[in-house]
Amino acid sequence: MIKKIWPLILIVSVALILVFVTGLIIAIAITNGGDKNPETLPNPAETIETEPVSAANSILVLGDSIGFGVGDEPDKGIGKRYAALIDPDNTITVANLSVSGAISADLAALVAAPENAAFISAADLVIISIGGNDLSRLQYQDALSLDVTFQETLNRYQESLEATISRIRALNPEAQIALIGLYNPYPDQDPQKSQKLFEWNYQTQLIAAADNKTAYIPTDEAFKYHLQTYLATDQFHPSSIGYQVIAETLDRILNGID
Amino acid sequence: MLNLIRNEVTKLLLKKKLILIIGLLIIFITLLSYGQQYTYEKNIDRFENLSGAGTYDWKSLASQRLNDLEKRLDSPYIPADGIASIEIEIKQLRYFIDNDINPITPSAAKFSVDFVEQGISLLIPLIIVILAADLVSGEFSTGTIKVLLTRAVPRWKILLSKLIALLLMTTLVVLIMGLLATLISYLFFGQWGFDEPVATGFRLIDGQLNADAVILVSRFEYTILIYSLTWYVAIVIAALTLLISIIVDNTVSAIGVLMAALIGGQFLQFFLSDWPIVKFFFVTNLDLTRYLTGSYQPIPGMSLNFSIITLGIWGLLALLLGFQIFSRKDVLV
Repeated sequence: MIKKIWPLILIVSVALILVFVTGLIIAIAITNGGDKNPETLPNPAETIETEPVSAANSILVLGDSIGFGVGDEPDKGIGKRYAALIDPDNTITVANLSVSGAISADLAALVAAPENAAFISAADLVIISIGGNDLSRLQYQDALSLDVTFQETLNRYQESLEATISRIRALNPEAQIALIGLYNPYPDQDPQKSQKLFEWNYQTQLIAAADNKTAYIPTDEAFKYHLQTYLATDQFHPSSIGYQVIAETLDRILNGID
Repeated sequence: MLNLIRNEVTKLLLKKKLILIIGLLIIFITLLSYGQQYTYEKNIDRFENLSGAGTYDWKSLASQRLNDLEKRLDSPYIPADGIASIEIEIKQLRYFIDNDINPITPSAAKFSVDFVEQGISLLIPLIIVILAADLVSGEFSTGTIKVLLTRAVPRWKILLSKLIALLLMTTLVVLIMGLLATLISYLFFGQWGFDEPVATGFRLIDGQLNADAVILVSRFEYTILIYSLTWYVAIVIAALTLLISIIVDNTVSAIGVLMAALIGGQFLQFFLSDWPIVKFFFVTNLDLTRYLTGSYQPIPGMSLNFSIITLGIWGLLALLLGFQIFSRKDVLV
């Protein structure tokens, strides 16, 4: 019996050894990056020079996917919806430099980049939605390390946000800034995590309070009991209605009720 | 020489250990596939209950994500180093949408990779230990070593034939593992999923994960790569087991020593990860497959190259030492 299958065993094993050795070499080559060099990748930030249209009234939206308008109808978002609320004639220009997935450090780097300075100095209102990605990265921490990492993340967030605001102020002392607060997209979360969100928003409010023309726009209170309708199908980003609610809150806080 | 090797392979087969290993693998793989299928169905159920939207519609979510990514790519303000990874994700999403495959559906190919990724640092080494632990020590404890050594062949040739036989059988065990994992999980999931694209080629530069050189390969190619790494780990463990099997003269102690080394090594990695010398220990380096997914850097300074070289040195030293000890050992049985 064994004499019969012995050649088979030998051939299969030797062939497999060859396959595995090749695979091993390829795996090493892939992990070492082949011949692709990080320096050779083009840098699009330098190739595109867009001059913002200077208008009497212009809005700049900065931040993450909520600033970008993920979950909303195409080409809308907080900025456009707010502009439509205060000015039905459509003379306000809205520039959106938001990057989905950005954290506070990305935003600080974005406002520090010289190519974006023209947008910032031209804006009359700067809407900033940031921090959601900083915080949601903590979601999978276990309870033990959560407190420590939360404090670290919050400190970094505060530093980046302060740097962002002081950079905007340096370029544009007159602009109104609005910081969009975070809401809790998970309805059945444990209370400990909700507390973290409150603390986060509280620190954002403190930063807003330090500057005369910086407003804090709360969203958690408005969203809390209406997650079904205010959230988009991904159960994380606001829906069209959610964006409208944020824009209306922004309007009420900045302009009051006529 | 070929006769000697055949003789050793015959002995390995006659001991029925291969059947034991296959049995163990079948039990584990069946349980794990069932578990994965169960978790998947539960997740879908939970999602449907949570969203209240009735059926779980992954396609609209994926399309939304795809649109979002494409818009991001058009935006001139995204950092240069993010472009490559966005393009990769777009290609993956396109594939899933075009082929109507839900990205989170478990498939046989995915399971066979997950199985060795989880098993590479403990389960697979233990299986190899089962295969190899009594290769020499068994001959001593039963006394058959006398019969073997009184033949007119030099001792190193006998050990070499054992080593080659072990190498062949280890390779076969890796193949059997792959086949069983794929076939049994196919029974549960009903999907092969071998041509779905997978991202690989992550690098660590100054402790930062770098995705510039990431490429897409098909899951079939990816599976081959993962099993090649598994095979490498398996032969290094086989060499170490052979050494232990030569040093101690009964099988139970051989298995005990190796299990202590494997499990103790995991502890060491857990408790002393700040201590740089731990990275030169072989158990710390077993988790080769994680380097391909880019999710992993246990101790600063470790990379795929480092781990492969460290394991290689351990294996070679074990063999050198093994041959030395075996040719000088007194045979008193």
